[in-house]
Amino acid sequence: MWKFTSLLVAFISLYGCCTADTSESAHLLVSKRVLNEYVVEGRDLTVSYAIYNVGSSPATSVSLVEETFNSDDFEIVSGQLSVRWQSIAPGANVSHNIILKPLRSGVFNITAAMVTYQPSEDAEQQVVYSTAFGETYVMDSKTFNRKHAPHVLDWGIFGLMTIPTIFLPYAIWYSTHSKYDGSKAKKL
Amino acid sequence: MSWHFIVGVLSLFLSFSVLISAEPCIDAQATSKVYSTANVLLATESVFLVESAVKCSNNPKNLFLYAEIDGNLYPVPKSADNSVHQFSWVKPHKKAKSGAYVINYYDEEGYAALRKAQRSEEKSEQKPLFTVTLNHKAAGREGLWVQTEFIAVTAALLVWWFATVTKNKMQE
Amino acid sequence: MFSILKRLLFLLLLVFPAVIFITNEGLLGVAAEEDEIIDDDGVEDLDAEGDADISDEDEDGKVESEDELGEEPDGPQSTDADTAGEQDVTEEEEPEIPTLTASPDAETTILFTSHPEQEIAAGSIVDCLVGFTNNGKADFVIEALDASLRYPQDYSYFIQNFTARSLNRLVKPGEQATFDYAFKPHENLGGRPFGIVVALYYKDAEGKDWLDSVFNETVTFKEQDEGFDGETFFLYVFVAAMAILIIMGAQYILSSIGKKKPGKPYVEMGTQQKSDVDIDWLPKETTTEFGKNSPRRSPRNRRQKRNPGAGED
Repeated sequence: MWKFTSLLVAFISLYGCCTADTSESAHLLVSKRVLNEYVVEGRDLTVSYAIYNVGSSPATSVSLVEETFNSDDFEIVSGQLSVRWQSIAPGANVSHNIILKPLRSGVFNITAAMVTYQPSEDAEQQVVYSTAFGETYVMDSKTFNRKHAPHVLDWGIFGLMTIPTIFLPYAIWYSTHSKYDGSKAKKL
Repeated sequence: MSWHFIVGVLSLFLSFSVLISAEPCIDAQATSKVYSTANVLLATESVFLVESAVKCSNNPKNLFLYAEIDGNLYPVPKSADNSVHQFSWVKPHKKAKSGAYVINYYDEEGYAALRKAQRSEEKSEQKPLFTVTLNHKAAGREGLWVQTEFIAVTAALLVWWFATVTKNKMQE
Repeated sequence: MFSILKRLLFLLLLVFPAVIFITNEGLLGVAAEEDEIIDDDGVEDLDAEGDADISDEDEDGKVESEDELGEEPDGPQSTDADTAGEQDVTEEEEPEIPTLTASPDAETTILFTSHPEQEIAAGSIVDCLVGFTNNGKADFVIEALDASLRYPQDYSYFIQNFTARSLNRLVKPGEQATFDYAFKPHENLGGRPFGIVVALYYKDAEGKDWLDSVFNETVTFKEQDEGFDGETFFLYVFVAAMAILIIMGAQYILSSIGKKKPGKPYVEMGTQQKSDVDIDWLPKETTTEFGKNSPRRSPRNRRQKRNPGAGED
């Protein structure tokens, strides 16, 4: 049994080593996307990371470090800014998401996050930077609400204000109508 | 040629050893926080997030979890200080329907057992370390189901129609 | 003479907006969504001048005689000749511009995230990630990333050129960076093979320009499935609703015309049939005269009757 497994191991490693390139390593591509259509102060900002391994061997000790959102301007709603994976298989991808909340409006430059990984067993740590979104404009909540809030209160107040103009004439008409309606019924 | 052979054998042994060194988690206690996208304007796709702080009675080092949802297994990344395991996924809004999403968490042993069962296509009896249920309400616009402006317009039209009908009745 | 001027003015009022509409800043027949071709940077300026010429001609033509009218159709043709001339010039200039190559110190890879098998349907958005590795000893500055569709038999002929994305990112030696790019091939290009070129422009620490064609292959686009298009469906529903509305409106109008005829005599007879007023005590002549000689019916009789009596007052 052991002879068989050792032979098998030897065969697999031979096959793997000699048929592949001399440099069999992992290569990671990291995409960082802001999923928001509008980035609004005080509302959720969704950032989605995807790490793809386009190399031919698993990437080990993958560590994603996000330091571009400083705590003065962004509050973490949900998610961890720095996470680690044990390994990413070749051809596979992993994803990570965080939810932030901008604390003030203005222009922010969203730069790249850093991922470090080990491309192969005997290699050093490789640093790869993600995609950078660039400059985004965080709009203040007043502007956003003007366009997208349901305005229930505003319409409610408007309805209350229209009630006198509509119902007072109706009431007057109805009282006179009922008076004269009664007399018509008598004649008939 | 021989150097590559040695490296290959070493890497295989190392990968086996990594698997073996991961200790199983006994008596998992997990507190989880969940998040899912609520507003369509603030995210072009629906994001589901589960953050779990896991405590095992045997305090294993290098605990890495795997999450199983809808029969698919995914590795769960953990925070740099090893305290929180965060599992998240992204789905287009149309596919992210309302309902309860059940996520089962397994440690390495459980993961290996599940994969074996999946490969041999038999139902696995493996019990998850813990389970998290995410109740998601499909993301939509803020506010009422019908836009308030629509309600205002229909109310105005109704009033106008009633007034016109009454006026015509009076004129006959 | 005056009629000729009037006719001329009428014609000019038609031709002037037509010319402006057709020429549209001197670019004839170029689709709005496409980009300016990089080679024709010089042409843009010339076209701007050409447009100014046309507008000047039009303004002059309004006041002056018919001779100006003859020149206007030449306007668009002249810009056409200009663009042709400019293109000839740039073609001659091409061998003078050194062709850019990829730096030996850099490696690039590409991954199409939205279409992993590279089965792209024309009209769908293609997302890709470009990885850049700096294997050298100096920094690289990545400037821009763009994509273009080329004629498969001749890669120097651009069919569709997509807007470049400017990146301006620094990559230190030994580091890797990722860039993303998205483009949408035009829907009409489905079913045919095209060469897709995704190009990365970067500079090294000495300021030398490099260009790496990260993806340089011929891909056949699939036809886009005419999926259930919500818009066209609702368009048909709207047209059907309008048709039904028109039919109902016509029906209503026809029926209301039919109702009005019996309505009229009802109003007229009302004055003659007052059942609550007893007119038996009136002499017969007065009641019959009410019916015959109402002033509305015979104003002439009334006038004749009065006139002989006018002298009495």
